[in-house]
Amino acid sequence: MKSIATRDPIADRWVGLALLAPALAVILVFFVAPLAMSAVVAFRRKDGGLTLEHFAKSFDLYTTDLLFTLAIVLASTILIGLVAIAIAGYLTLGENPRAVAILRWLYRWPLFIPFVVAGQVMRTFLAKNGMLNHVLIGTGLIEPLSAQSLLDWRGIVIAFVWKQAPFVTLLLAGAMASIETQHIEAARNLGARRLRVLIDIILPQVRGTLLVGLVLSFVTMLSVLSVPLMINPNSPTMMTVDVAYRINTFGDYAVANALCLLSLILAAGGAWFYLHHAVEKVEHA
Amino acid sequence: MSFVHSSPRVYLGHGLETAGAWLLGALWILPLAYAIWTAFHPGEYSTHFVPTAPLTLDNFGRAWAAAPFARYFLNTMLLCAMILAAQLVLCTLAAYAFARFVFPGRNLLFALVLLQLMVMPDVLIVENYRTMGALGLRDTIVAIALPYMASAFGIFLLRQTFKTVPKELDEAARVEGCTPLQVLWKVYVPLARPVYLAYALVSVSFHWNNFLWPLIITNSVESRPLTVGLQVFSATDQGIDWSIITAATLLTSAPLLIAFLLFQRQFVLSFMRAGIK
Repeated sequence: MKSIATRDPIADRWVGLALLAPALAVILVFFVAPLAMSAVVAFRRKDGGLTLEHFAKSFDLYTTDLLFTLAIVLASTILIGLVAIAIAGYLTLGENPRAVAILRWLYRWPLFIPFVVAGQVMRTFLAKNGMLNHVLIGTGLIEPLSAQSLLDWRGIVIAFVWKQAPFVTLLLAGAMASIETQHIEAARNLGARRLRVLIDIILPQVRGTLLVGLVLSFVTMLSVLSVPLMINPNSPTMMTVDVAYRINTFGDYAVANALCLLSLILAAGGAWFYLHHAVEKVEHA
Repeated sequence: MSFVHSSPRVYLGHGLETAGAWLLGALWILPLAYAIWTAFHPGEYSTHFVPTAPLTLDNFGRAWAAAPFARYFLNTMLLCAMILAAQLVLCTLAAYAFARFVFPGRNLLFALVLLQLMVMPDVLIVENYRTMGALGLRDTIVAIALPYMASAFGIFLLRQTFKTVPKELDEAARVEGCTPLQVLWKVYVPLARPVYLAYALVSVSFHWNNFLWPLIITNSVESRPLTVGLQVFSATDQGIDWSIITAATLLTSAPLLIAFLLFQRQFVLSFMRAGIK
């Protein structure tokens, strides 16, 4: 019998490379080459010499937007985490089957709404004369004169949280459902309240899944153009809008590339965490 | 898991929880409910909730007439099908290579694939736009699809799944005389079916929603997908007619929402079994 360990390593080598070749070709042409060129353009002067001027210009023009982007995405990530913990926690520990069923059915809907649609819906929903203000005025919660538009950073955060929280909740609820129930039942039998059980027993066991969900959301939100473009296109705005503006209005590929590389640095930390966690999980399995 | 105690206090607690769940659920669904309300009612009710307001399909008719939605739908479906088919083939082959074969530079090449996960597609838009120009593919559906065909997420997810398949199954298939491709097809692919389903849903959902790259690389009705077509309705020179905007918005996302409604149980189970974590 010819076991895996005694397979012909030379033949294996060629088979492995042949299997990989089609994907590798696409990656080289549409990822490695453009990434290298993008970096070169961001660091190159018109006369061909190396320069940091495009980065300096990016910081001159867009430092506020860079910080704005970071603040929006971080705030959204934190809120997504809190909403996801609350919903997934209730789905796991809820004692009222009807309430659990209602929440389970309703929370998932935004999962399949495209960002561009979420942006469009929020744009009409959160405007000064939008439905939200009409409802608040109609219920007497605010005066008509104090109605204000939420089409600014708040609108972006609301759209991001609304769109991404179900994704993290889905991952988190799955992880919580697979936890051994003995500890939870023991704690509940000893009189621990549900919030305590959630914080002290459940969350520590699903921390990895929560962080991975949040990292994937963080990286996704950094690259969304449609939501800031529709809700808050004016300065300060998110960097994706700036990139589109540099390309469409000025044809300024150098600064656009520099801005893209700065976004990449923001995203890379989060993505590294995801890969580290996922690879470690498989190696230990 | 249930810790039910039958006392009036518990009943009251249950009532409050039910009310709280309805409230949170209603708040969560409110933007979508609002879009549905506005799309199905005349413009004067777009920001006023009047239960007796008449229903209408006029907004959908006007939205449909304002943009070539039929063509956009066709383009989007072609795009999603093309990307998914290519991804399933390329990612499966690459994942199998990384999971079960030893070849020079394997770790380096895998790191290269993983690097794609860290890089937002936006970084590459400028250069990919030039590449598509050089290939003569600008303003085509193929140009939208090409950069996404070797999905890093797909390769990574499938490689992780294939690594959990017992090697004994692989060996047994080889002893039976299967070639590597037959082993892949008969052993690995069937065992990874939930992962394929979850990945397909994620991929279709992502590419149905994708906006920035199609916006830049296309400039004609023949190649634009729905999301880019929807952008027409956000232009200020169209005026703000929210009924039409929300009708167009619902038209865009309706297929995904209906698919979700029909397959949500399978979707959630696949998602959880796939271990996208």
